[in-house]
Amino acid sequence: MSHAATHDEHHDHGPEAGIMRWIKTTNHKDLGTLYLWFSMIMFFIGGLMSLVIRAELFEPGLQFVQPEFFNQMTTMHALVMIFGGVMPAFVGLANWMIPMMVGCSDLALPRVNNWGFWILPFAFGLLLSTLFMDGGAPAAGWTMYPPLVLQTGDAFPFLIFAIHLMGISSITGAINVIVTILNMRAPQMTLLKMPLFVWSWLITAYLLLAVMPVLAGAVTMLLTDKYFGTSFFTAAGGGDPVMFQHIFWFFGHPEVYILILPAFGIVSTIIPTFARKRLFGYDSMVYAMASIAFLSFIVWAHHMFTVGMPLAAELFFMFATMLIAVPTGVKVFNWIATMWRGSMTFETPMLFALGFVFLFTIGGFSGLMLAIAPVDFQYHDSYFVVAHFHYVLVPGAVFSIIAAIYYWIPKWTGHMYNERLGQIHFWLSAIFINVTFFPQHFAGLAGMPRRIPDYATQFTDWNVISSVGAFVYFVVQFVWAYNMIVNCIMKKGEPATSRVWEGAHGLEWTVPSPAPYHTFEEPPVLDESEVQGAHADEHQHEVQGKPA
Amino acid sequence: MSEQPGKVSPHDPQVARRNVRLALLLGGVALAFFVAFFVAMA
Repeated sequence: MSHAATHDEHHDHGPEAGIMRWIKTTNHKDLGTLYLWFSMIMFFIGGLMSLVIRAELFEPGLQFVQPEFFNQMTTMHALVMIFGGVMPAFVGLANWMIPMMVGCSDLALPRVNNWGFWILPFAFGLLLSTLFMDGGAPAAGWTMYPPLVLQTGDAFPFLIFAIHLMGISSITGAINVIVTILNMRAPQMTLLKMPLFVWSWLITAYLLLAVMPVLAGAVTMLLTDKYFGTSFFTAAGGGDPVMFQHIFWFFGHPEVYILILPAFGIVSTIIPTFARKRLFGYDSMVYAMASIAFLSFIVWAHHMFTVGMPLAAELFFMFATMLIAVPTGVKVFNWIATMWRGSMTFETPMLFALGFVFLFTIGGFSGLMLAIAPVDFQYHDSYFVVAHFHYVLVPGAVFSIIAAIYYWIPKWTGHMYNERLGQIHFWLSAIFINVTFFPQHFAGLAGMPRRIPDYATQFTDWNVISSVGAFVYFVVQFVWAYNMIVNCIMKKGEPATSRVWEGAHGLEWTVPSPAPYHTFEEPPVLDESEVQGAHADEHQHEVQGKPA
Repeated sequence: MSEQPGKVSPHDPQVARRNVRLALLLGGVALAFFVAFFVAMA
């Protein structure tokens, strides 16, 4: 960042030169960049693993890998994508944007922020190193159900310790976000004036704080069961393997919302910008996210309807799960109402946000289908489930990350991406994500189980289509990488203005592009025109009502 | 927690103290969850 060299002399703590800048940095923008690069590397590694899976499933029979290695790929793909890809990407976006959005100079605990990031490469170094061990990587699925997971070889303690490290990183990040938002907002930035992205992260951070210790506890018990003679989940010693499933999903379902709530915040930020209207129903968006977060704690057993629960429990978890459709419906309605009669334009971030609304909703509908307990007995552990959660996570969470990067990278680098390449990237991604995952609904409904390297021949056609889609989708992402690296990072694109997008509102758009290394060393004065919340409308009406 | 804190630099000693107090509280809650959960299961 050459601009930093010309920065105010009073702020002489600019970036260090060389590699030490990145190792020692406590700057939220540097750490945001590190998180985003890390997540992109993990997306690439996890993507390669998915291609191994799809290559093997291109036709029936065993072509490329042995079943043991196939199971390692499905397990590692999930762990890498969830904990290495999506979560760090959202933390990266939070690092970059939350201080600028609430008007403070950095996150509340900058050194903790540095520590939280630098734990991650070690965590994933441990996890990925298991691929080269005797017995290979963990292969019992990302859910790590005992007793199967206890058969893992040398990789087992590496898996557990890697998850502990990821948990520490997540908790430190969550604490940093909460403290920043509660303690360091600019004057006049009341809670209900905060951008929706900040709200979504505040709620996500509380979820992280509540459930990461549960995951840490569960995997620690697995560790003691395997190495220290305890029997938490070992039936032979009086333990209960199903208890692990309850504990895991008590973590796992809120985790699903950890992966999607920041996406809601991003989409709620982008759609008003390109519809050139205030967000419809700001307050209801906040309450909807809080409701979704609350409900996420009381629906966990819908992941395990088939273990044999009392009927009353099945009914409770079924209806509680269906309740989530209400606040989610509120959100989708509000996004559509925001666009209604707006002056819409369809730049790349808006396209990805719209793709999110359409395709995430498909994932939501298949989720409703899976919530119906008697029906779930048919779908459970089938490819229908794989189709469902990939719709939620890829055109859901991943599209929102892509949209956010297109939206904010001109602010980060000071240069615009190439719009034509962005449009090509969106349309090819949108087409081939559906080519990849839509056929999996049909394969699943026809009875194809998940986590198998071979299948009956009647599933061949859908699998061929799905594999072709996956390979093309993977290749298409290089168009994005080229666009970002050449035009924005290498600064070949057009220079960006401060506002970047005509319809954008928020404190982050009041600073130059690229954003200076230090922003808001002094508290900014919040102009109400920059406020996203409903209270801005009230203010506007008050102003408009006054005589000129 | 304050609705309008008014100070926005983590390098300000007063802000730093307030931040550390809240962070320790939140970290303590997370640690308590972990310990309580483990003890309950044991």
